[in-house]
Amino acid sequence: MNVTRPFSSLRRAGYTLIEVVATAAVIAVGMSGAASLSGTMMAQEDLSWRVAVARNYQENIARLWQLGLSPNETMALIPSASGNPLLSEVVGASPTLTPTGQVNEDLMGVMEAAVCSFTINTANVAGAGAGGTNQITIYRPTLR
Amino acid sequence: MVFALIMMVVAGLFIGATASLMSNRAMQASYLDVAMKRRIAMENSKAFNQQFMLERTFNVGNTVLPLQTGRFDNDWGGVNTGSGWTNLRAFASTSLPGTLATVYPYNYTGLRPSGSYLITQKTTRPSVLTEVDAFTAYSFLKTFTPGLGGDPLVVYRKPANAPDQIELADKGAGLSLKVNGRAVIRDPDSFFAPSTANPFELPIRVKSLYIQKHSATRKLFCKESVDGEDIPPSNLAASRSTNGPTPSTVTAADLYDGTLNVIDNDSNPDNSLWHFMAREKAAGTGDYVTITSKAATGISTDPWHIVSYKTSDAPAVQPLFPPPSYPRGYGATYHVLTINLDHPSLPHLRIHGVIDQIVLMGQTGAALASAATLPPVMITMVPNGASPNDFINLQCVNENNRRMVVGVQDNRQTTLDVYWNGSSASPTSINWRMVLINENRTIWANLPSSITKKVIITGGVMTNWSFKRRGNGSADRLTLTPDNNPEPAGASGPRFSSLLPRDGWMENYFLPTPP
Repeated sequence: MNVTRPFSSLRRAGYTLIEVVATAAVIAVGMSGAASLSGTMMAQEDLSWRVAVARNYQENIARLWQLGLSPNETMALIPSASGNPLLSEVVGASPTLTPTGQVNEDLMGVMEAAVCSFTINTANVAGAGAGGTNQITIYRPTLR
Repeated sequence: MVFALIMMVVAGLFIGATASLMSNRAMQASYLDVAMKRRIAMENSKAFNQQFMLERTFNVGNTVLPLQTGRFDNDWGGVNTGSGWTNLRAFASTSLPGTLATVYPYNYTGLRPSGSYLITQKTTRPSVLTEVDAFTAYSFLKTFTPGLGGDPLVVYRKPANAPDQIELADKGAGLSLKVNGRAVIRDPDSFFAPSTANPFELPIRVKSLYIQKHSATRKLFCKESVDGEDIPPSNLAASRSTNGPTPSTVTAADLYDGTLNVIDNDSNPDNSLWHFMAREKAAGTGDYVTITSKAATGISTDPWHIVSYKTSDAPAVQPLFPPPSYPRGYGATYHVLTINLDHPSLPHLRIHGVIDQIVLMGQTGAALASAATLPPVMITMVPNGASPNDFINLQCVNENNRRMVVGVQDNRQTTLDVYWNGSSASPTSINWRMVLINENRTIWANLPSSITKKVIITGGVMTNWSFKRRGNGSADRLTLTPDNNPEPAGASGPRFSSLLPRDGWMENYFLPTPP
């Protein structure tokens, strides 16, 4: 008695090499894409963190000066990047607070003005890469 | 295979979600610059409002046009005058918080003890500054007499021609006085000579201490009145304070330099005793008399009278309260002006420095209690032009319960001796109700000889030069205390507080408009 195996059962037995290779290639491409995207996202998140720290740092300098402190007193109160590994990652160049004299805008009040600059570090090594510099202009009353 | 596909779908979803989250985070980071600029611009605008208001509002009769805009470069903030104001007179305000038509959700008391007269003005965000959040900056312009508000001792900036520093006690003489409230120092530098130790301990005992400005090289402190512990200043930082413009006011900063000029100040008639008298007379609420002659006049039952004594007649005939060493060194005649403080018809007095001695006759017994409801009285003792001031002796007799402000002034630092005599209800204390204003005189408070007897000045002292005491004993032998009941029930005449010079200050309430 001849027993014949159905053709379909033969087909179910496995995948061809080409199928496996193609699938593996697709998965590999997907995984490499995901890995690349993940790396980019991590870098983006790291930069976002640096920007957030930098702006917070810069705003605190501004507020302290507006309270009436001198630039030297202000910078002495603000944490220094020196010896601070986390802050060192953020600071690209030393932040500056520079008084720019008095202004009397539209003759409505004599104000003291200053510019606070902050440059973010964009490199992986602390302080190695200077990114864009952000400047803010701050004012405080001469009568205070 | 199915498992692999499920894993890929899950991983895809995870990666997609993470990418979305990171994208939002990146966007949030990109907005940090904008958000920070908005906050800084608000703070800049707040500072601008303070400067704008302080430069203008305590000047006399200032006017600000509506819809004037001040704007920093690159939209870093600005203010708009809104509806502006016309002829603003902060020191003439008679509005109390309880009588304001508009109720503001703020602290009515504010930075100083007690209530105060006030006026409110405001600025807003300029409409062109669309990148700055909308705000309304309310400025409360407050004015009040320190001695009615918990500050019975206020020491102002020393006069420009003063040779050295203000003293509150003779050198090495120990304590001077006790302040039953807050002592206010407007200009710490006025206490320092080159040799003065830093920090310098004020020879007073206080409940609290308020210092207008702070310097690392010229620090002041004193001790608390109950336990004698060192007490630091109660304020950091201080709000600017002023009596208003004076003839020497040139810049806005001069307005807040701690100068005292409230006895006769043409530059600010709204805050000057001399001008208050003219105002009351014009309003028909109180007359005044100007005494420019030392000639004898009147009798002892008059509201005031002058007696001239020949020094050659002493000791047979001499003043009731002869000054030290009388009659030696007092010239041929000695002129005594006696003021009856319990006389209901006593006018306000402008006394020029032609009188040698002024006797303030107080009250005893039932008259002491009833004097509280007599009309309040203003007395100014000013120099006789550029001539040396003859007036060097002030006698306070018995006790006083009449509401009274006394302003003594000189164009140099001439000594004025103040004595307390007569009888008092308590054997251990003399209660003397008086707001004393001293401009440029060296005042010596000569306490009674009995070391158990105190002098209590109710109303306080405003001084820009030395105020010292003679008499041993503890600090509380000379006590300054606020007048807590300046408008007693049944009182006649104008409100006492309307006849008193004031300090003015500003409190800002900066309100961002809710979205």
